[in-house]
Amino acid sequence: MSRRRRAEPRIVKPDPRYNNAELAKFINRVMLKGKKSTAQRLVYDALELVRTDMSQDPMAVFSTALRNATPLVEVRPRRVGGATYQVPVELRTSRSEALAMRWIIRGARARNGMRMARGLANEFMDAARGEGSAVRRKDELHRMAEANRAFVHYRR
Amino acid sequence: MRTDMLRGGCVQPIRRATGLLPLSGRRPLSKAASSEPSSAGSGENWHPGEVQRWEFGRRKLAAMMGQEEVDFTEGEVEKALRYLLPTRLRARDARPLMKHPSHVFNKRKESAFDASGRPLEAAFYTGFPAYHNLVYQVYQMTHHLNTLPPEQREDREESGPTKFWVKRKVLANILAEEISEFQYRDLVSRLARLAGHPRASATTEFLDQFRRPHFSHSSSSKPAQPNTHGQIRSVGRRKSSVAVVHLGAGGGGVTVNSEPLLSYFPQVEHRQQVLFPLILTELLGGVAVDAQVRGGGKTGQAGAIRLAVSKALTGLPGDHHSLLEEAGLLVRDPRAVERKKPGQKKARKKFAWVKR
Repeated sequence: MSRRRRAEPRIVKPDPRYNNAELAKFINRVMLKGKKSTAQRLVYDALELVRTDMSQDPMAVFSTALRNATPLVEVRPRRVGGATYQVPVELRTSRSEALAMRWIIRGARARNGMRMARGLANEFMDAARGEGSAVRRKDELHRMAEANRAFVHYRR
Repeated sequence: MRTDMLRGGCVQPIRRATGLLPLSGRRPLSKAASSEPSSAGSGENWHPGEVQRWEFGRRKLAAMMGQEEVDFTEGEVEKALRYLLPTRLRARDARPLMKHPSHVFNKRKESAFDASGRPLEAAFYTGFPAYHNLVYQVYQMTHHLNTLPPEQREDREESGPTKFWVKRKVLANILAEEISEFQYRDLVSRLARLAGHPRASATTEFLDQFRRPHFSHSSSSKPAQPNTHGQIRSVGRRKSSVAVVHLGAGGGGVTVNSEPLLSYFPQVEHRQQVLFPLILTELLGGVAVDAQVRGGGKTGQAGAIRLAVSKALTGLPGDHHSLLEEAGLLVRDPRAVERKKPGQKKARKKFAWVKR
């Protein structure tokens, strides 16, 4: 995190195929070692799989999936008077989007026995339905926040 | 005459009351007055002897080059030096040069004292009379404009704020005094205020002294001039890649290193980069593009070609320059791989931090 000045968010060019900036960001997050072409192939293949399996517009599914996986609040530890409480705090859109994408990708990577494209596709579909690992993580986070609701007044 | 008091009410400069003091003989010369060389004449006498030394060198060079002294201009001196002492040094000021002293030394002031040893300028004792006089002058003009009767208030359309005032060092040279950054910024804001005044038409001449000549087209000076085959040649660089593009009339064929565009750049983004300037100027099917590119990787090469194409397009009839400039297509992307530093693993990655 920068000390001196608040870093401005980098604007990413929209994706060449569907002209969607979110998707472009997602592709970048999937990318490893700067291999953009591989990342793109994976994501596009995943989207095609979604189209086949669900007979729906993959972009719609993608958006829904992301939305379902985006948390609204999270808990952050804060020390007050000797004890460390988990304080629920609202999230910046940039952070919640990032978290959603991160969870989806992690979920896809964790799936054993299938190619990444397939894994991504499955994650998208599950999340859109409200089921997959990403959504589960989000729900857990929300539960934690609700549980520690007592400390919400410690929001900085 | 303290210029910091000018913000408030009006201050008159102290006029020298020559008539009041009896000029009974010469005043004893002050230290400042006596330190001036008696020959201090025009404000352009550089350190004595420099001009003679330069002249001598110039004559010698002329003789060496077998040319007549009379015709041997400063330009000829430069050419001669480049011929006799060729260098591959890239820094201009590291190369051998011999310039006329007027280009090297700053202007010196004329004598600041009159015949009786009194300083000519009222502001002499500020140490920077020219600067203070200038500030006062600008103040006076602004004040005059502000206090005109209301009917005469507005009279001209000024094209937009002047963005290019003369630089601090140049100003210092004009005034033959040192100007601090603070003084400079203050002066510029005063000048800008004067320039922006609705009634300022009469002052433009005065202000022009301090405006930097505005270059309409910077470095890429319209490469137009198609070659013998009617093509426009231009160069574009990006991150280790260099592209040479020849633009010709004809169908919209694009060739890279003798390969069709589609085959050389299988990725969409790369093709988009190359074609972008054409799309913007709507010249897509009207010109034939032949590019030779070397160095770097595919993405860098695409960027280099994009620049080259953009530059070439400015040479075509029609004002594409402003459109391309607005789109930022004429800028050479300076980002390049950052150097690895000693004591660090990579350009930025540091070694593990140990407390002891």
